[in-house]
Parts: sequence; structure tokens; C-alpha cells
Amino acid sequence: MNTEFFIANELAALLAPLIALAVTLLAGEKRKATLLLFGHLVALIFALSGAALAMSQSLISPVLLEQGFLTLRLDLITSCLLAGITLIAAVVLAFSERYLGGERHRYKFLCCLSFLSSCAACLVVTDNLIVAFVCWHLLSLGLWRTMQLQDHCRGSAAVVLRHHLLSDLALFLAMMLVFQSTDTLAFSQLPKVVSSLNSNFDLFGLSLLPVSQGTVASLLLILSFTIKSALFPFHRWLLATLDAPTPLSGLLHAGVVNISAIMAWRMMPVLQDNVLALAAWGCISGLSAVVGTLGMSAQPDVKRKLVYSTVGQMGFMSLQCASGAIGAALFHLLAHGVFKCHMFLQSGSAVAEGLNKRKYGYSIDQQSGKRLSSKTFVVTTALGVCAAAYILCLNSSWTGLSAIITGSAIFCAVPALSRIDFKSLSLFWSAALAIALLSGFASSKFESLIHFVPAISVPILPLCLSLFGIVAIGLRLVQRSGLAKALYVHSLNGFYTDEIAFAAQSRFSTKKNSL
Amino acid sequence: MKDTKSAQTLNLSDAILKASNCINSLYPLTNFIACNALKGYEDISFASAMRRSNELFGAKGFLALSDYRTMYESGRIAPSDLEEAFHRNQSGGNQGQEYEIRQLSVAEMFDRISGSQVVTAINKQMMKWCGAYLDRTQAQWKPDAPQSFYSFWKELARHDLSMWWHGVKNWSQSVDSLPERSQETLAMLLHELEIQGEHIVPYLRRHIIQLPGFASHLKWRETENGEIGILTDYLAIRLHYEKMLTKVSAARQFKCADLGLVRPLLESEINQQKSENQEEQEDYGSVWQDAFELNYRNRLLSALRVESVPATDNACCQMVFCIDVRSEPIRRRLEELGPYSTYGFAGFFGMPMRLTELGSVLPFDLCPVLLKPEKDVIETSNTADAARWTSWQALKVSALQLKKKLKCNLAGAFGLVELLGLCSVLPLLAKTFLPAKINRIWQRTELKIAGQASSKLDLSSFSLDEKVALAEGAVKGIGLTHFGKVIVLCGHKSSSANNPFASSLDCGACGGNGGGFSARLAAEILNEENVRECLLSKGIQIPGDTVFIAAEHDTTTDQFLLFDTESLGDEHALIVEKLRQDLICAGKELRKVRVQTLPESCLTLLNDPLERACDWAQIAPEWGLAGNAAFIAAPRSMSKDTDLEGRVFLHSYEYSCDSDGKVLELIMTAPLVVAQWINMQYYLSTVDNANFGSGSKVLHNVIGDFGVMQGALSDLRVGLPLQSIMTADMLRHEPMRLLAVIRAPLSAIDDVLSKHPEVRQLVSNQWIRLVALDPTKAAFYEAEDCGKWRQVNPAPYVEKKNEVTDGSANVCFAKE
Repeated sequence: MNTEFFIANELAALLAPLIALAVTLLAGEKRKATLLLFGHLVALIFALSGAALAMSQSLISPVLLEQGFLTLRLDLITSCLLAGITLIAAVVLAFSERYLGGERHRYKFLCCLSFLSSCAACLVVTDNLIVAFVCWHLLSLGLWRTMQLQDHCRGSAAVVLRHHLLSDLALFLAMMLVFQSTDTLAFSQLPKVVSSLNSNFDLFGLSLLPVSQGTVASLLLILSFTIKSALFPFHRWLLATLDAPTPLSGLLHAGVVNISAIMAWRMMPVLQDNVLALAAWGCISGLSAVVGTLGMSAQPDVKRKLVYSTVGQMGFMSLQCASGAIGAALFHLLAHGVFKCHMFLQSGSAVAEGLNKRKYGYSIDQQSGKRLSSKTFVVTTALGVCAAAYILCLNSSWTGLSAIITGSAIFCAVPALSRIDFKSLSLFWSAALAIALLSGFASSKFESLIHFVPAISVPILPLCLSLFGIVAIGLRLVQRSGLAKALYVHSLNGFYTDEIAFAAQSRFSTKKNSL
Repeated sequence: MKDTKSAQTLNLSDAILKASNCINSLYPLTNFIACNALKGYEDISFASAMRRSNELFGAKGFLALSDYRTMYESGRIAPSDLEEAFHRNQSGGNQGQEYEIRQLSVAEMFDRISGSQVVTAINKQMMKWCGAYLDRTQAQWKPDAPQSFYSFWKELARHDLSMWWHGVKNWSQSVDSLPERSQETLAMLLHELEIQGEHIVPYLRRHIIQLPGFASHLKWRETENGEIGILTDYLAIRLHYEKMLTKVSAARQFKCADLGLVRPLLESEINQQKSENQEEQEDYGSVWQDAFELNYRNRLLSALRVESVPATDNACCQMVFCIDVRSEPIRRRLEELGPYSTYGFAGFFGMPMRLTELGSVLPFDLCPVLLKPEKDVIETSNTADAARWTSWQALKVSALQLKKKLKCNLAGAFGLVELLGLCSVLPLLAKTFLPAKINRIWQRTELKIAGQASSKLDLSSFSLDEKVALAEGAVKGIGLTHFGKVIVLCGHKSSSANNPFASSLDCGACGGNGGGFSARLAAEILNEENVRECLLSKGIQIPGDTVFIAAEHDTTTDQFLLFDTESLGDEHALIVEKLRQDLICAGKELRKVRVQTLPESCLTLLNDPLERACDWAQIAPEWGLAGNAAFIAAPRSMSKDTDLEGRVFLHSYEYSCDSDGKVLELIMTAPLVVAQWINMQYYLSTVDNANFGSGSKVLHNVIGDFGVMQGALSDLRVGLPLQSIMTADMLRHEPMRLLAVIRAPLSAIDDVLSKHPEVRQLVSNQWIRLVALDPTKAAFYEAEDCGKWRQVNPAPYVEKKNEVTDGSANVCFAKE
């Protein structure tokens, strides 16, 4: 009985926006916004209650609603993801309705946003490879269409579409391979039949390479995920989306870039035995985490900072996926999604924030008072990273620990600290610790729900976290040298992906001209 | 030898100054100041300036002809207006235009001939470096900033690999080999390009207008912010990029890397292209615009009361507002509610100061940018709450800084997001669906934690004489002759959330800040016993029972905050209480009218201005000064009974109390000029938002805390965003030049004009339309120049039925 109630909730959450979207096709201009908003708010309520139900019953093993192509799988995690997606969709929609008040394409834009979020929601719950692929592809097209609404974004829309089509193609080929050798289109069947992927890869009967089907499929999947989640060096499309209105970025960074973690979860049976693919994924992700964070620290404007931050965070999320910690990755996805959505929507406050910083703090270059000595920094960072890595080795995900320890060191060096009285300071830290404990608990809960054991025997995640710690410490130690300056310039340039693309393009076009 | 060199560099800085007259200073967004972007062309006629800006920027100077046509058809321009405008333009004729060599930069010539993208590449590099150097608040990682832009660049650019991808192979060496000082570099580069003599200015100008936004901001830094030489740095860097990139193109195209040799070749090729498409179209935009403005002039003048009314101000409560156009509607409503007399005066009450707020370390100027404040005022408080409050502010900022630093630290960035991420759900939902409520709860919590520090202004930097002089200036400037029991000095500010352009809605006379502090300063000085005693000797007698009270008008919510009213006596408290009620009443009424003109949401509850003021999704919290069209310096009685639709700057002025013309001189050189800046900014942002406005707010990307770009990387945007001047399909601001109406004898006005050529040229070059109401003859005269007046007879205006009140533009325009 309770399960049925849960299913009803989830279905309502899924269908309400779709129905609203369908009805808007008939409704007049003015009604469209009301309808969509209503649909999404209803969906939000149902999704939240569905998630609450799932939590109360701890529905860990999925409930399958078998309807052929339309088979859905619902469990605690999908209901949480669904709640996250509907929440962000409702907020972004309500925000855009006001924010785009002066734009002519306001209603079309709202429909596009609703369409994008519905695609993401469907992707989360479907159990069918084809439906999942269609959703994945519709996300690309929807994004392209949304950007096309404004004339000046046509160029950047094309860049976005090119990247996404490549990702879609790779996913499509991978799925074809999987279907060809396993004969199944259901995600839930994959673990049982995955062994048949071990046969040699052949093309029309010709075996060209001495690799298995599974490896080729995995590599294709990795390529697809890497592009979709805008990892370095494929993040150019994410930068290009900045030409579109801010709320689109809010939705995008919360709901579209991290969709690849969900697909990775579904495809993990295929991926988990392929050391090569996982290692490659881990390397790209780790690199992306470093590049994104460095790139972010050097950018002088709010939106590019946020994009590079996403590149870094997506790198970390993919790293979690590659090491099999899907549960942790999904938690990161949710946390990062709402976090980044909030940051984007309030990007207009940067002027007021900057002013406040100069009023009540000190500016970065007039830092006075206590300076953080390199020794303290090195010790605390090392301590924080080691502690977090150790906990990660114990198969629990409490990455936040490193942030807490490093953060307390940095906080001691914040210039305005001397003016804070002890009472508020201790209050602040107890609040921070309480939040840390809560989210640590939540993330380890998530982690315990799904965990795959990948074929790779190296503990990727703790290793990479230590590596990040070493890079952070190293940068701190050489901060005044020429090396750091050079690295700063490279970060400022976003590691030259634009220049390389430009050079390649001009070479290509001159060649074409000379022909 | 040395002499010639220094003479050269001297010439160079002159040349840069001259080359940069095509742009105006762009103030940072933290204190947004409205400026005339074409201020450098105020010495030529308005129409010529528009032609000139068209040549330089490709900018439009007038609305599209179809828009004027629509106005003509709707009766907004009458045939008689058109006739008058036509005659005037014929008789005025074209002024002799200053001749300047038209020149393209080398990079542009390459682009035109071979279709390469050298200029785009240079611009991209310049935007990158300007952003990196100018930003002080966003990037967490920054090499220690050296003294100048040039040395910053020189130290870092040698590591830059991006030029390598453009085919420049010896980039680091080329940077290393540059001279230490940017002036020498610039001179050297110009020499290498063989640009000399009269060609230098146009060549540099060509480079300045490639990125007008950044160049304008640099000009602000150079002229107003004391960073001398930054424009030279900018141009030197720019020319170096041009040299290196065009050398690559030249080597590719002409097999010769000597730019001095290549340039003539390019020029001849360009000239061939040019001769093919040289056709100038004569556009009658200026005539139509003139007609449009004449129509408004006639409407306004016929609505004003011409006959003089004896000044009978015996109200017991007087209120002085800022001249801002948003004061007029509230003044009118307040006057209807009771025996209040209202005055208009610049919102800083003639008292410039540099203020440091409680707990702050950043002083800011509270006065028009025409002035530089000499006095420092500190907001102090001796209660224990002050420490608590300061501590709370410091904690908030520290937490913010911690978050930012941790986000950029590889060891903490990912953990931080996992820690804080889910907590963002609360603000997301609350700010989107219940903005006002959550804001109230937050404020109440803050009050609990931080306490409310009652503060006062520390005036110790003023001597008694200075205070008396300020007080005298204010009383005379406002034109107060009768003193009621309570005199309220009312500044204004605006509330909005998540709005990079928040400062543009604040008080321009207070340097783009809120006006409350200025009002408090003025009230404190005028209430001082000693000051009043000394004023007696100057012939100003302020009765002992007169109290000055400071107030602040929130133009978004139309609510008023009265300062320091606790210690008033009974009689005064009664008056203030009545005033408070009336202000609430007037505000409520005005809100109702105003909200109808703003873009609406389907969540109807959130359309309330009280919600708008703290709604982070609100793109148009209020209309600001949109609609501004006229400046009136006259007694209030002249305009009292007319609905001026919130389009008029109202300055009080009574010529009979100003025998020596000092007050008139002040009005015409300060408030009138500032009003013209505001007016021109609205005008230019409306007629050509692509060049002089900042485009749609939904695309803005804040860089540092000083400007906005559009999208990922673009030039700094100047001027006002689209949402400040129009809704989705209707212009809210009618672009028209300022109509100044002054009630004073013609000779007095002529005196001021002849004394101040910068004001005179505004009139003679038609940047403003000056109309005088001669009080003796009770007739209007329009000035063509100093001493040249023409009587105007506004036809009695017949009210149309479909007129919308409160300044909404009643013409629909198709958005381009």
C-alpha cells in the first residue's frame, strides 16, 4: 500500500510538468507562465513527499514498474534525485519568470527550461537504454534551442551543439555495442548479462583490435560522459553557454552537466570491469579538478569563475564515479547542483559583495594583521587531506573533513578576524561544525546505499585527494616564484583551449582556401 | 637629446588626452554616476556630435524614422511642431565641422583586406589583461600587484603562451626587450609604424574606440582616481600586440615583416575599397527629434503657472526634497494631504563630505562628482552595541572570504561544496518565493545578534565658521525665508537585491549613494545653537523652536525613515507624527500608481514594491530616473497644481531673494549640469543601447566589482541596461534633451552664461534647451545663445483622453 502511494507520488512528480508543458501549447501567452509554474510546484510537492516516503521506508532495492519501453525504476536514490531536479526546476522557473520580465522571448524560454528539466527527470527514472538515450539527446537539442532564442547566441549555440552531438554519438555507439552483445535494453538486466561483453571487438566480422567489446563500449561511454560533464578540455561548451541568460546557467550547472553521473550509475556494470577505461576517466577527471580549480581562482569575473568551478567540481564527481563511489558522486551531484544554482542566480550581487568586502574586511592586497604562515598552511592542509583520505579508505565519504581543517587555518588569517568577538566566533564555528556533521552523515548514508567495487585495485579517490593536497601545498610554497606566475597566466588563459581551437580552425580554413 | 625626448613624451600624453576625448569616464558600479558619453563633443552642435559618433562608433543619434512616424500619427508630434523644427534647423544651418584625418589601424586594415581576425585577437588579450589587473575583489589568486598596469603586464605576459598559437614565435623575448616605461614603449611602437605628427591622435583614437568600455573605465582611473599614466600603459600594450600580430599577417601576406613598409601598401588597397562605397545618407532624425521635444516643451510650458504668486509660505511643516525626478510625485501627493510646503534642492544639501560608516574602513564621497569633499566625517557610536555590530559585520565578511578562499583551494574546494551544498536549498526557496518575508526574518535575526547601534556623525573636522558657511549656503540655496516648526531634510535611496546597477538608482547628488547621511549632516549642523547664533549676524534668523529633522525616502518602496525623532518636544512630536502618517498615506497611494507601470509577474503578490525591494529575481525594482525630460528652477507655486508625471527635476529658486545672482549661478553650474548628464545618459542609452547602454541585464557578468561584461568575455558595458529604459515592447524613457526652465530675468541668466562657457556651449550647441520665464513680463523666452532670446508662445494644451499619468511613455515602439 505504502509502496503504491510512493509510486503514485513519483509518477505525479514526473507527469505534472509534462502535462503543464503540453497544456501551454494551447494556452495564451499570459497563461503560459502561470501554468508552467503551477505544474512545477505541484511536481515539487509530490517529489518531496515521494522522497520522504522512500526515506521513511528505506526503499533501497528499486521498485520496477514494468511497461515495456516505459519501464521505470524507483528507489530512495532516484526519488532524492527527482526531488532535487524538480526543486531546482521550480526555483529557476519562478526566478526566470520575473528575471526575464523585460525580454520578448520570456515564455518560450520558460517552456524550454521546463522541457530541459523534464528530460533530466525522465532520464533519472527510466530503466530503458533507448529512452535514456533519447532523453540524453533531447537535453542537447533543448539546450541548443534555448540558446537559439537569442539572436546573438547563434554562434555559441552551434559550439554547444557540436560538443553535445559528439557526446550523443559516442553514447549511441556504446549503447549499440552493449545491445549487440547482451541483447538487453534494460539497465536492471545489465549486471546479469554483462559477461557477454567480454568477447572480442569486431566490426562486420573483422576483428581489428585485440580488445573486448566491453572495453570499446566503456571508452565510448567515458568520452560521452567527459564531454557532457564539461571536463577539461571539453569545457568550451560550458563557457559558450554564458552568452545565454543567467537562469539557464543556473539550471544547466545544477541539472544538465551532472547528468553523466546518473548515466554512469546505470552503466556501471559495463564500466566496472574495465581497468583501462576507469583509469583514463580517473586521469581526465583528476586533471579537470585541478585545472578547474586553478582556472577559477584566477578569473576576475563572476560567471567564468563559476564555470571553472563547475569544471573542477565535475572533475571531482567523475573521479568519485571512476572509483566506484557512485553514491558519493550522486550526493556530490545534489549538493553541488543546489549550491551552484544558488551561486549563479545571485551572481548579480557581486558588486554589493565586493563593496562589503572592502568596507568591513580588507582588500586582498592590503592584508594586514596576521598573515597565514606557509608552515601553518602546509601542516593543516596536510593534516586535513590525510584525515579525509584515511576516512575515504575506510569506504566512507566524508570529504568535508579536509575543508573543515584547511578552512579553520585559512580563517585564522582572515584580516577582519581581529574585530570579531569571541562569542560570535565560537557560535559561528559551532554552527559550521553542526552543518559539517549533518552533511557528513548524509553523504556517508548515500555512500552506503550504492557502492560498486571497480576492477581497479588502486584507491583512486584517496590518492587523488592527497595529490590535490600536494598541489595546494606546492603552490603555496612557490607562490612568489616565476613558476607560480607562469601557472597563474596559464590559468588566466583557461589553459589555452580557446586558442588551440582557434588555431585549429584557422589552419583548417586556410587549408580549405588553398584547396 | 634628453630635452627632445621629454618633449616627445609630453606631446604623447597630450595626444592621448586629445585622442581620448571621444570617450567619457566610466565610473565603477559601486558608485554609478550618470555621464554624457559624448561629453568630449559638447563643443560642437548636438547634431554634429551625433554624426561624429556615428562615424566613430557606428552609433545612432536619434530614434528610427519609423518611431517618429508613429509619434506623428498618434499626435505626439503635431504638424506645427514639425514646421517649427524645420524652420529652426534651416536657419541654424550646419556648423563648420572640425576636420580630422580618418585613419584605420594597421590591424583593421589587415582584417578588411584578408578577412583575418587580428582586431578580435588583440581585443581579447586586452580584455583579459585589463580584467586581471583591475579586479580587486573576485580573483583569489593574484600575483602581488606591482605599481602600474604596464609593469604588471610586462612581468606576467612573458609567460603567456596564447600568442604562440597565433603564430608569434618570439613572444617572451619581444616582451622582455620592451623599455621599462610605457611612454617610451608607445613612442617606439608609433615610430616603428611610422606614425607621426598629426596622424598620432587619430591613430591612438582608433585604438581607444576598439574597446570603448574598458578605455572609458581606464580614463576614470586616470582622471578621477589618480592612476596617472594608465591609459598610456593600455595603449602601449595594445600597440605591442598589434605589432606582433600584424607582423605575422604581414609575413604571411606580403612576405615582409617591416610594418613601416607594409602600411602604405595596405592604405592604398583600403582606399580603393573605400571609394566604392562612399555615400552619405542625409537623415532628418535631428529635425524629427527637435519637433518631438518642441511638443513636450509646449505641453509643459502651457501647464505651468505664469503669473507670479506672492510667496506665502506659512506652513508649520516644511520638507526639502532632492531635485531628483522621483521626488516630484511624492511631493505632489504630500501637498494634497495637508498644509505642507515642499522645496527642491540637490540631495547633498550643499554639504560635501567623505564619510566612513560605522565599522567600515572604506570612506566614500557623499557629493556630486563635480566636487571633491575636503571634510572627513566618521559615523560613531559610543554604546556597547557598536562593538557588537562591528563584530557581526566583520564575521559576515570573514565567513564570505573564507568561503571564497576555500573554494579556490584544491584541498578544500570539493569538501566545501559537499558540506554547504544542501544548505543552499533554504535560501533558494525562500528568496524565490517569499523574498520580503525572509528578508524581514533575516533582519530581525540580525537585530537580535548584532543589536542596533544608535550612531551619530562626528563633525569635529568642521570649524564653526565652516559650519556657518555651509548652513548659510543651504538656507539660501533652498530659498527658505520662513521657518516653520519642523523642517524635514529628505535624502533618498533605493532598495534592490541582486542588482549590479543598484547604485544607479541611488542619489546622484550623493555620488551614487543613499542620501540619508547627507540629510543627517545637514540637520545636525542646522540644529546647532552656535551655528544659528552666527547665522543671525548674516541676516538669517532661525526661530528657536524650529527643528530640522533628517529623513530618507526609499524610492523603491516609497517609505520614509525619519532620523533622531525620539528627543523631540511634545509640540514637535505631534507635527512629526502627523507627517509620518501622511507620508505613509502618500507613499501608499504612489506605490499603487507606480506598480502599474512596472513589468509584472504572474505571482501577483510579488509585484508589490515592498517585495520588489528585496526580491533577488526582480529585474526592474523601480524605474529610476526614466522619463526625465525637464529641469525647473522656480518657486514651487509655479508648478504646484500640475501633474508633472515624475519627469521633472524641481529646484526651488526665487529670483527676488537672489539679488547678486550667486544662487542662480550655482544652480546653473551644478544641479543643471548634473541633470544634463543624467538626461544625456538616458537619451543615449535609449537611442542606441548597443553602443551607449549596457544591454539586457539577464546577460550581465560582473567583473571585479566595477563593471559588467556581456556573456563570457566582452568589453565593459557602459550606460544603462535595457531594463531601466523599457519593458519588453514599450519604451519607458522618451529620449529627449533636457528642457531647462528658469524663472529669472533674462539678464541674470545671460550673466551666468557669459561667465561660464561650459554651460553656454550646452545651450548654444543645443545639448539643452533653455527657456526663461521672465517674471516681469510673464512670458517665456527660449535661448539660442547667450544674449539671443526668442519669445515662445506655447499653444494652450488640450488634454488627450488616453493619456497615462505618471510619466509612462504613451507611444509604443517596436523593439529592434
